Amino acid sequence: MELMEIRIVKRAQKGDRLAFAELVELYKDKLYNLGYRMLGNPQEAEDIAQEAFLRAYKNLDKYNASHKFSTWIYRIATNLCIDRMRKKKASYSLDAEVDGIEGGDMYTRLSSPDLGPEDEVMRTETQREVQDAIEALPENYRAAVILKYLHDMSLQEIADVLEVPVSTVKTRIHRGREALRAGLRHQSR
Amino acid sequence: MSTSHMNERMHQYLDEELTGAELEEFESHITTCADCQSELKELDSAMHQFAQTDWVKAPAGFTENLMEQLNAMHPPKRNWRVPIMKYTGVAAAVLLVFGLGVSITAPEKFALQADNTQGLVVADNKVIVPAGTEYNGDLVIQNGDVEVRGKVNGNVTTLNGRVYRMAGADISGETEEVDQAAEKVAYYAKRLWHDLAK
Ligand SMILES: [Zn+2]
Repeated sequence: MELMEIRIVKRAQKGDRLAFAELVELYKDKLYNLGYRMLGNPQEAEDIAQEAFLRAYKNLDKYNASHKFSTWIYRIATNLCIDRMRKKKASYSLDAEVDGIEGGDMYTRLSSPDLGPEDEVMRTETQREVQDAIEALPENYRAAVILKYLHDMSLQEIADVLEVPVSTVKTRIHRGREALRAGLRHQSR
Repeated sequence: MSTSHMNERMHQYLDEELTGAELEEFESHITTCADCQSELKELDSAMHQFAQTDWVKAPAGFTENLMEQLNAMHPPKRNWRVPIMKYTGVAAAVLLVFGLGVSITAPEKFALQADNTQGLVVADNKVIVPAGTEYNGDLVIQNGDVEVRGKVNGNVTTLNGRVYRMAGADISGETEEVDQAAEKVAYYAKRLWHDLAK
């Protein structure tokens, strides 16, 4: 698998579009899922995944095989998610008042405009509680717990993706766990 | 929400970082301390719930859309294209020939022999059975590779080419790579294609 991937990346670097399409096939669900959990809705998840691949394509020559390709592509996607979350946070604080008047909470605002089939799934109570709890986490903690618990990454891999020391990843995961514990305990009461 | 006196240890435990005496000490403490017990239970069930969330997948057509966008943004220098062949309802065997003046007796050219091309991605010198798709019938690829990521209910044969089984590949029939001199390939091509034609 790993060797196969290295060959595909090499072909893509030489300009083979089909090889790039294969990489997209290999990673599209992973990046989409990451975006979905980080941002909370299908439209933004798709945007982020697309943007991540387009960036990867533009910067393919900068990728060097001393790192795993997965680390590299996850890093691009995670950074895009974190950027977008920060921008969103800024705009939420601006129109928080409007939200208050309309009485819609953040969750319905995020997910109601475009209800895809995936979103239907989210509407089950537990799923929704979990997503709410995820969305209450600060972006750095969120990325760390999502990569660990949903993408099965080791602490070292997460550290490589986020470009921070392993000790920092541990701290984020500890705090992320505590926050999820608080969020889910509160919600299920 | 309260965090107990053992909170730090608890997270080390969850990260599987405790060993030997530390681990024993922690585990025996847990059995006697109700606070720690309920705290660990809460953490455990929260993370369990979290890990159980649905694995949502990219929407259908994601790759095709992306490649289209990419081609619009960066027009290919060579004549690279990712044509998606959409021949539906073709009952009889269809011979798809790429290149000029190709026939069975011109074995140096890329050709695909298939019962139909539904769901197949066909590009220069390569055929892909995409992940999540199911192809019913035999595939014969001449002077090209085939990459199987989905399911093939039939045989897969390449003449002067490779069969790549990717993760998720499932081929019910035989897989054969015939890599021989041109005459031999021509012979195989004729035989196999004759078999397929009837
Ligand atoms: Zn205790």
